[in-house]
Amino acid sequence: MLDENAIRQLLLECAQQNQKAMQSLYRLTASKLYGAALRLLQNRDLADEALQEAFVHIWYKASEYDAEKGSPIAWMATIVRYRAVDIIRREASQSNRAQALHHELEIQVEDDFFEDHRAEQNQHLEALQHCLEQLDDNHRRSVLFSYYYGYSHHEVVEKLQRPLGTIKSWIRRGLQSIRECMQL
Amino acid sequence: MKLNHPTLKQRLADDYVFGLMSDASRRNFEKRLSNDSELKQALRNSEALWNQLVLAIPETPPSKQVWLKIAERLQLTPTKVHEITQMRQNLGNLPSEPQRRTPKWLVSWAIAASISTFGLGTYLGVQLQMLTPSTTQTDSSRTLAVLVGEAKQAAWLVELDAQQQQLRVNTLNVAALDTTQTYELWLLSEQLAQPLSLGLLPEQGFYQKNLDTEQIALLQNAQQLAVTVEPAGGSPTGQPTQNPTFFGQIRQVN
Repeated sequence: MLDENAIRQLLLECAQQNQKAMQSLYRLTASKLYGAALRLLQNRDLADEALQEAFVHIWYKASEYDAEKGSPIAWMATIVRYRAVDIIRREASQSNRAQALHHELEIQVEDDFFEDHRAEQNQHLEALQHCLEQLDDNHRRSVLFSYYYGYSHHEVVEKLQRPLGTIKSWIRRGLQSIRECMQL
Repeated sequence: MKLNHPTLKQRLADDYVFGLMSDASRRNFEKRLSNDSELKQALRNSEALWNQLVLAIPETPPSKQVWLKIAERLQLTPTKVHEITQMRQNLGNLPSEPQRRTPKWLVSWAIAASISTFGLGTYLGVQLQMLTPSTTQTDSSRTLAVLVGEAKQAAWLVELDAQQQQLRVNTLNVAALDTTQTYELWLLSEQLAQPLSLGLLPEQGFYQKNLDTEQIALLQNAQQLAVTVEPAGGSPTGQPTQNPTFFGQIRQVN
């Protein structure tokens, strides 16, 4: 379990250009964030690039983190995810990633996600998992494929054998249901 | 529903985070973000909620090269390690007159070092270029060695600045030892009968030591540096007690 207070403090120190804090922040969070990048990109070289770009961004933008507006690791994860998504968009061929995804075709999405991390100490994640479990199967699969596994919508179309409009509609309905479930 | 309705803004933010927007819509959304604080807040809310999913992904340690590249990009200068007083003492214990006799140690180490160096030659060249900070390049020539382990990880960058008469050690990526052990740096040269200790190495941060003329001459004419794991405080015999775990070819850099 990551120590959010420690991460928050290190981010504040990074905002003051404290290089030692940057190194500590990396040691504390890199494995978690790299796991996220690798899950999305399915390629170590690309995940390396995403993590590198993300930490450079974090160093320069640490002052923009607002401690009152959310978890520091979620803020950092957001940056990693956007870097990963940028790379996915940039990769014209995506042959490596597509190949890696091909080997994952038989993934049992729900089982994989819920076994990856059973939330015990994170109430927000626990609530989110609970609400995901309540979703219609297609909605849940669409949401998890799209976000957790980082599939493009066209890849989700291929996997679930439904038109793009249907997939987008399932994702939107899933998101709406989760928000209602979480009373947000 | 009007565009300024909070619920719509939240849905738009969700669409943005999930990549459901067309390129044109995405650009328009990003344009509005700079002027619409509510939309910006909706985006933060959306990111905070859905990134819980990202945090559920199991941890995977990245390659050590990632941090090296980040540090290089940000031109991070390693922090001084004040606590390693023992290392300072040890670094001062250079023997004044090295003995000359048949260097048997050099034969066995040289074989191992040559094998490592041959395989790592290209790697070292790349590392030297990559790891030499632009801020350290002056008109004077410098002696550099990257100490590399069996797994080809660059562990320390050792630099001799003859003009400033300083030995500088930058830790790059070093596994921490337990409290009963320490890393010790050795100078290997055909001019020496035995490996010459250059003191203990830090496991993190930066260290520098002033050298005298004789020490500088030895380093400038040496071929390699090596590192062994020794008992805390350094080798009790003044000579390596273990086989080296890291080697570095000494090179001149202009």
